[in-house]
Amino acid sequence: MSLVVIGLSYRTAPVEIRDGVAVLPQALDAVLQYFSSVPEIVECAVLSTCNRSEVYCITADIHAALAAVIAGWSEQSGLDADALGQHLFVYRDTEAARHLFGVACGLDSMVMGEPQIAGQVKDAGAAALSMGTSKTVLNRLFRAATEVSKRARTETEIATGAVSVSFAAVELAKKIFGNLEGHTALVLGAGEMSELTARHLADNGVKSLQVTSRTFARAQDLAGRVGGRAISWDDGIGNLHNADVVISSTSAETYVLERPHVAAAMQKRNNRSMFLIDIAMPRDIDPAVGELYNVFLYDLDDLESVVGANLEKRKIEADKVSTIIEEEVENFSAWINSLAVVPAIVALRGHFQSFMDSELAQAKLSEFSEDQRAQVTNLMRRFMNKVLHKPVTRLREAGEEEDGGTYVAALSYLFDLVVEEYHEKEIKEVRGS
Amino acid sequence: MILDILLIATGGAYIASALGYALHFHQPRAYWRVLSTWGIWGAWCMHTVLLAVITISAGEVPLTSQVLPSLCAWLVVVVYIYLEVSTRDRSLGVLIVPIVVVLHVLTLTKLLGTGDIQVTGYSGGWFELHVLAYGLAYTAFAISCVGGVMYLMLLSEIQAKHLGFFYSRLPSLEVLNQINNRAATFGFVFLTGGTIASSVWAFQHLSQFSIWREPVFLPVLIAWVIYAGNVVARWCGGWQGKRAAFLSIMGFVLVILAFPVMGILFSGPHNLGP
Repeated sequence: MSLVVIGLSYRTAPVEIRDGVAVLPQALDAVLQYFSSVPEIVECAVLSTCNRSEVYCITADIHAALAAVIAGWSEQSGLDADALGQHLFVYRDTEAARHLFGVACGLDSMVMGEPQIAGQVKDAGAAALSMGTSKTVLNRLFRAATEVSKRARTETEIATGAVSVSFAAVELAKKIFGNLEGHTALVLGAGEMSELTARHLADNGVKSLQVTSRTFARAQDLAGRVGGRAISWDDGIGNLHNADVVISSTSAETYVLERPHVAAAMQKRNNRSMFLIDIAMPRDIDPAVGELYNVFLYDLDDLESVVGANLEKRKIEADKVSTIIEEEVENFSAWINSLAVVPAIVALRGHFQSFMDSELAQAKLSEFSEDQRAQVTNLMRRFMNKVLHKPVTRLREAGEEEDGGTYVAALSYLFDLVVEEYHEKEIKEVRGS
Repeated sequence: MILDILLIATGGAYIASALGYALHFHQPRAYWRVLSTWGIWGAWCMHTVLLAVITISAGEVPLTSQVLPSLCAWLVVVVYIYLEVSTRDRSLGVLIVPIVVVLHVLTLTKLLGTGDIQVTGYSGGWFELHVLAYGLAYTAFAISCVGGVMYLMLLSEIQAKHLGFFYSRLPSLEVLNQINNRAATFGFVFLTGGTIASSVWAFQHLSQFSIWREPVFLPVLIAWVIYAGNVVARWCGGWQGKRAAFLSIMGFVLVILAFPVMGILFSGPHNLGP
């Protein structure tokens, strides 16, 4: 049996192909059922986001599994199977585990370290579990992926620092004001960037979001979209002192806010901090405004350099994340290897059990009372368990260290065992014992 | 013997905790978090037992320069634990816990191996009120100073538009300003109350006492003026943030000069002994 991932992502396939094979949440159950109905696929789970679609499966026949996935996606998307095949990647065993752990940590995301993917991996594992299409191996794999992503986020700074201008602006506002609830924001101009920033501010609970533009209708339009209140240009500029955060992105060719204007507003607000975000090009706010006491002025270049620095930092952190991933891949591999010895343990126990049963059958126990017979049987069972305890423990350890096969072969030879590939029931039996 | 063990164990736990806070500040990891927080709680519990043992041995709370630094350290830890629990932020610990270590070591060097716990020889409600109020005031000023230092560290990164080490570790400017603000205001109230109590007690009990000749008088007066100005400037003049942070740091430096240094270096009622 092998662990295999068959998939495509933004690195290997254009958006038209990704759209074609993407699985909507409401269709996920049907897709899982489809793949699990393929005889060669023992376990399966599907991870589908806007940037990737991946099928994780446990199979004895990788080619059959690959053919089934291509056929399924081809049917779903209407794309030619050969053309689709050119965009696929296939990883198996430790490479597959390494791939999923990297995906869960955001190392393979368009924006490195983005946090949503960890939740999407967790959801994919949960969906397969609830549909019963994932079992021992995939359940363990997806649980491990969730743990790895948690470790990456707590032990490294892979997910810290905003990586978009609008997020960087909101993060800064939070670093200045703490909780944004109870604070007031004023949007000057109705550009796309100011809309994004205003939206993030609204999501972070600003008390009042006022939007103004020289064209009032545009202000009303933007205010409607971001849940703010449109006010006239003169009211907006005149009430500057009421705003804690000011986002400016007008198309004016000269400064909209100059130093004396902001200085007067600061005096009116008793020098309470004011954060001005100038995302216009050319700039809307006189840079001299930033010299005023308790005024924080960031323009587009400043924010872009913050974003750039954060992305650089994430790239550096990626090395630390890779080390964590390697540790967890090693743990997972050890666990997988230990599964290889499970059938041998089952066979060995079965061998001793049948030996014990036959000896008990030959012994003349009919003269014994029921209680005495039970005592003898228990004695034999305890004896068998004690004899087998050490070899079984050593076999498990050997399995984790990748030389289990040698011992399995030796056991098979010494005891004339017939060792088959593991299956769910055996794993439970061994765990239970 | 038990006193020495408690002194060393408490000091050791505070040092371990300070190390934990420093390491957690540098690299936030679960194990450093555990070391710092468990360390401070463990140290504080031992410290409480230590102060109880000292009080029982002396027959009263010994408000002497031998034990007062430790008492102040205990109060600082109480306030710090409250701040950590209420804000879930550990960054203040990186500066506050080392102050606690220094205060505890001051007591440790005077008590270790001697077993001789001195009492003041002074008595009266006004005296005790004075010492208690000053203890609380110093605690508040220390925390205000730490808030101020951290405010300036974070502010320098935000103003330089180079968001780095402190930006990702410290709480917001607003939170630091509030800590600084509230602690300075509380400290000022206690400093004023303590000064009034000490004046009343001195005129009642020390016939030869001249407040003008008292070495700590001038630094206390200057510290009081700075904190009074600080509080008025904050509430009435809009001195938020940077200026207020500077005032808190200056005030604390003067407070340090006023009591722990001047009181120890010069003879007089503040060299509190038998």
